[in-house]
Formats: sequence, C-alpha cells, structure tokens
Amino acid sequence: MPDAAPFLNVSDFTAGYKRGLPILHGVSMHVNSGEIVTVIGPNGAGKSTLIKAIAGLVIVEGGAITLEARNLLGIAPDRLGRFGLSYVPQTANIFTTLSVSQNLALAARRCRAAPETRIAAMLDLFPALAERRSVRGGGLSGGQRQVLAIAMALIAEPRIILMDEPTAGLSPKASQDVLELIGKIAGDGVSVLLVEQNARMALGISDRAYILADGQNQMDGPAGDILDDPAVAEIYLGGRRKGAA
Amino acid sequence: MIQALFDGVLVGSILSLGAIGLTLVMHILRFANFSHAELLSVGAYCALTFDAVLSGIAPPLANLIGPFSMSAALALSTLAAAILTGFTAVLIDRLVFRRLRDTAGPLTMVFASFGVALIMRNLIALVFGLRTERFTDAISFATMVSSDPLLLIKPDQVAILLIAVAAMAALHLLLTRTTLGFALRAVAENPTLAQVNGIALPSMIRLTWIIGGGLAAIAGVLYGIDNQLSPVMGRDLVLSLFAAAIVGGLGSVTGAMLGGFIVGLASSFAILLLPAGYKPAIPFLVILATLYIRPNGLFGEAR
Repeated sequence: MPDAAPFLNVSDFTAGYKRGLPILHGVSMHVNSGEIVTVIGPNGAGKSTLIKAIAGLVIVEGGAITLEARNLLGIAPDRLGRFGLSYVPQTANIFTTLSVSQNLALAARRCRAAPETRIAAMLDLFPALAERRSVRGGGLSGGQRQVLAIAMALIAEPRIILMDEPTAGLSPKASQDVLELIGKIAGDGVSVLLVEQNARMALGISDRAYILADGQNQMDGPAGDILDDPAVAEIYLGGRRKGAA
Repeated sequence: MIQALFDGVLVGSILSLGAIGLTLVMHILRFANFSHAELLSVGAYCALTFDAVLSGIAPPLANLIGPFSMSAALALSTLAAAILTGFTAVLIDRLVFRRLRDTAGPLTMVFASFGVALIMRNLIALVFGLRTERFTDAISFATMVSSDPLLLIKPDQVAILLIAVAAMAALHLLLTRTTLGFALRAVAENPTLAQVNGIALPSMIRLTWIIGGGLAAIAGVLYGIDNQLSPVMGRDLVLSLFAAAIVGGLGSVTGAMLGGFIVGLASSFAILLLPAGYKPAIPFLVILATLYIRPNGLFGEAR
C-alpha cells in the first residue's frame, strides 16, 4: 500500500524541444512512494514531453523537479540512475544490434550491486529473456522487447520508473501482460509514472491519474474516479480544456 | 594474378584500419569527417619523429629485427604515435567539432572538416617540408619471401598484414566481448537510450576519437613502411577510405574492414585491366556498384 510521503515532485514545469517554444506550460504533479500514477490525455497533450523532461532529455525553461527533496534539474540523463530513477522510452527502447545479455550487461553498469548478480536476477525474473539471451534485440517480438526494456530499467534497482506508452504497438494480450508486470513492480515498492494512450487499461492498474491537454494540467485524482468521470471524454475530444484558446 | 591478390589484400588491410575510425566517427557523431585521413599522416610523421629520437637516444633500438626493415625503435614509436594521434583527434574535436556540434548542423561540420584537413596537411608540410620521407631504406633491399621471381612479397609486407589484422582483431574483441565495446556500439545505435542507461556521451565520444585516431596512426605507419611518407598522403587516401566505409555500410566496423579489402583488391586488379591513370576512379566505381546493389552498403542499416 502506498504511503503518503511525496516522492517525485514536479512543480510549474515549462519545457519543450526548442528554447522559447515550450510544449508544457506550468505542469505540476507528484508521485508518492510505491504508487502507480498515470498521465493521460489526447495526442499532442505533452505527456511524452513531461516524462522526457523529468528524464533530463528535453529543455526545461522553468519550474522545479525533486526526488525525495533532492533537486533533479540540470542533472545529466546518464546520472539519473544514481538517484534511483529509470526511464523506459516509448520506441527504440532496446539496442537492436546487441544481444539480450549484452543489453542487460550494458544497463547493469549503473548497478551498485555486482552486475553479474543483477543480470542473473533479471534472467530469473523473466524466463522468456533467459531463453533468448543470445538473440539480438532486433530479433525479439514487440512484447519481448518491452519486457527487455523494463528489465533494463529494473536492473539498476530503481525507486521510480518512468514509462512512456509501454503498451504502444502491442497485442491486447501482450499489453495486458506488460500492465500486470507494472503492477507487480509497484507491488515491490517501486513507484511508476506511466504515460499511456490506452487510458482505460492503464487507469485499471493505477492509484492516481493526471490528465493533460495543450501542455497544461486539466484534471487529477484517484484513478477510479477519473475513469468514471464524464468530463474526461470531453477533454479527450477537445470540448472542455482549461487554458484553451 | 597472385601478386595482384597479395597487393590488394595488403593495401586493403591498411585501408580497413583507416576506415574503421572514419565509420565510427560518422556513425556516432553523424558527420562525414574529411580530415580523418590526415590523422594517418599525423601518425606516420609522429612515428618518424619518435623513431629518430629513440634511435638517437638508444642506438641498439635502431637495429633491424630479423629479416624485417623495422626496428624496435619504430615499433615503440608506432605505439607512441597511436596514443598521441588519438589525443590529437580528441584535441581537434575539442577545438573545432565539439563547438560546432552544439550550434551547427552536420553540413557545417563537413565543411569544417575540410578546413581542418587543409590546416593539418599544411602544418605537416611546414614542419617536415614537402619532400617525401622513408622510415628506412632497408625495405628496398629486402630479400623476398617467395622463391618465385614473379611473386614479389617482402617480409615487411607480411608483417604489415599481420599487424593490421591483429589491430582489427583487437578492436573486434573490444567491441564484441567487453562492456565498454557494448557501450560504444550502443552510443552508435541510439545515443539517447545509451544516456538513459547510464552511459556518459562525452567520454564515449572521446574514446571514439582515441580509437579512430590510434588506428589511423597505425595505418599511416604501415602505409609509410611499404610506400613513403608525404604531407599529402592523407589527401591521396581520403577517397579510398570513404569508399571502404561506404561500401561496408556506415557505422559497421565489420563493414569497414571488409570494405577496405574490397577497395584494395579492386584497385589492385583494375591495374591488370585498365591503364594506371584510371586507378583513382576505382574507389568511385566500387561505391557505385555496391550502392546500386545494396543502398546502405554491405553491413549498413537503413536510418
């Protein structure tokens, strides 16, 4: 059960891919320890930009981000693992020219524990990867790639994982498996910040949710309430947006 | 025929060494570096200088090794030149390319590399003069390995081939057996994902230049042993190096190795069929023929 201590805190975030052209306009949100928080919204809402901004991959022009009260702004993406943060990109989230073992070995460079121990732990946790440890990443199915990407994030023993549309392009069965896996990860005490197009499925496993549109906060609350709120459909269809012109 | 085959393989091994660094830089830093071939000249002239100094300080090191026209001084000088050339490449990156990477596009980088090539070439000419140099004249009097009077293979040429293959094998092991090699390949494939997985891009970029510069220096020394050193040797080799990298497929180290041998063999065999004046056109013909069949080169992937 998640506790009440705020873990990741994002406040008044203004960020984008080019300086002076922000995609996010003053977005605020937080994730408590052990929670699954989902960010949903229509296409172009800025969901992926938000997660990339937290991961240090886009230009942040204003606002603050803290992880357990430690400032993360300006920290290089390659150093965020030391703060207990892992990120799983939406696409191209594994190295297709490297084998499964090599992908894991590379990700294990961030581990505090012996890399061999962590690689063995991941192969135990995901038997499907163990069977294909010598297969190049490019030879895996969409679902297997997603599992490998999540294993690469987990191998560093993070305290929070950011996931950008982990079910994109997957079959309904594979999507369900990935979401179940996310539920298990959170059950082990790792916080998860999820960006998803597949709102209904994602909200089904989440504790809380934020809705973004036009790069701004629109709604937030417990996932169950969001799921049942008729205003959500309106926001998706563009009928009711805070701050829209 | 066998002579053309051997000559092609020999030249190919040197081109392969040079092309590996070129393809790594092109793939990781996303620009065609026309100054890369000048690193062969830098390496060769560094080794020439170190060799002269070492031979002067410790004359026994200048003694030739067995049937070869190489000395221990030259071997040590080659190692020192590889290290120095690697760091020269890092310095050039810091002074020129890194500044442009942050602010300019790939085309600006290409034009800058032309400028860097001109500066490097003329600096070498300024210091060493325009005349050609040799590491040693002993190679001219070397006893042939083969007893067949029509097959001219010198012991030094066998050594050149073995050294080049050993350097390529060492790099192959680094890239396929070590986490550092995985990291380099990861950066080449997806720099953003590499960063997310804890790989610091600046240190990988430095390593790329050091490896590329080091191999270029070894290639330059090997070329100088079999031929001669001149400030324009980089200019003479640049198109063949690009041909090797493009034929092999940009970003593929295996491709660059194979591409070097293909270009070397094509140039060598072409002399049997065409007037020598057509030799400079051979790399272009090889590029055209390969890209016609495989648009991304032999081992390249669509990007």
